[in-house]
Amino acid sequence: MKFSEWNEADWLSLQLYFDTCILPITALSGLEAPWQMKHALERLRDALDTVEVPFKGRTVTMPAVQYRIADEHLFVQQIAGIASNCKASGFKYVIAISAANELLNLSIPNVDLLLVNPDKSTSLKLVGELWQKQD
Amino acid sequence: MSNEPKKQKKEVTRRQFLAYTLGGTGGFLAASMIVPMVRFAVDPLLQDKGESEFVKVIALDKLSDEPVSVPFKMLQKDGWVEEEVDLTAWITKNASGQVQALSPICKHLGCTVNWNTEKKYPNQYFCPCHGAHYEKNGKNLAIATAPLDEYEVKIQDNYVYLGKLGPNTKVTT
Ligand code: FES
Repeated sequence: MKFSEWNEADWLSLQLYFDTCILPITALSGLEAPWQMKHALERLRDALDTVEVPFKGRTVTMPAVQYRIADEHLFVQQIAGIASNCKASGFKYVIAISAANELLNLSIPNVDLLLVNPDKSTSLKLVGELWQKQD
Repeated sequence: MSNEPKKQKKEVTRRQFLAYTLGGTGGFLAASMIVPMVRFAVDPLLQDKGESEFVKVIALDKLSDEPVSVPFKMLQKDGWVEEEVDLTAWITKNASGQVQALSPICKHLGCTVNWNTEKKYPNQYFCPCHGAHYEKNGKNLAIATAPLDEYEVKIQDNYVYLGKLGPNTKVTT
């Protein structure tokens, strides 16, 4: 479920079942034209659908990280820091999802799974494996 | 279909989309006012309460006792908002020709169940999130406290049509 669907009482009673945080990363540079930004967001939405829909009852989707810092090292540090905080707040797993191909081979500390432009079956398989491996 | 909506599913204006693309600002507020409760994850509440619409989904002769996952599109109303949504049903036809169409939404917290994917529970629906499992008719066996919901079924000219989603009628608890 998305962060915006929660209220305090529900979260307190159900948090234990929602152990996986989804961090959407749009990774815009700011150089894009408005229509290109819209397409980037649509592609991100499609990528998110592959995880949010089948795993709605165990995942919480956080607000997106919209822009990427040009320096890759700093960008990875930024995402790793957010993921670390998600875990400190109680989540067991962090899944980062993006539609930006530049992120394809990044290795981000504290992120258990990075999905870039995944299709439905890839997401089903990889998320299932992540949980099975560590549950 | 005559009432096929003009709007594409992939439009950028979908409320849920705004909820994360705008982060904690406008989209968040719009979404939180309209979708406030967790129970919406598993209750079939978002469908219009008015006249039932049926959607043609599959030829009768393609069905058997083995559940098949059938995707279809249906127009749903939520307040003032009308949206075409992608749905799926697990559909079976038993030996006496009776058709049942189950919602794949787990009655625990709303993940999607699959048929016969867990070795421990052969020939059952299984939820990958917290392990709920269900019999072929949707009867809940563990974790979930209710059976899988069921779509209204209508057979016409050897095709299956699905209508509103409601509580399971084949399972007695
Ligand atoms: S959502 Fe299916 S078992 Fe929890």
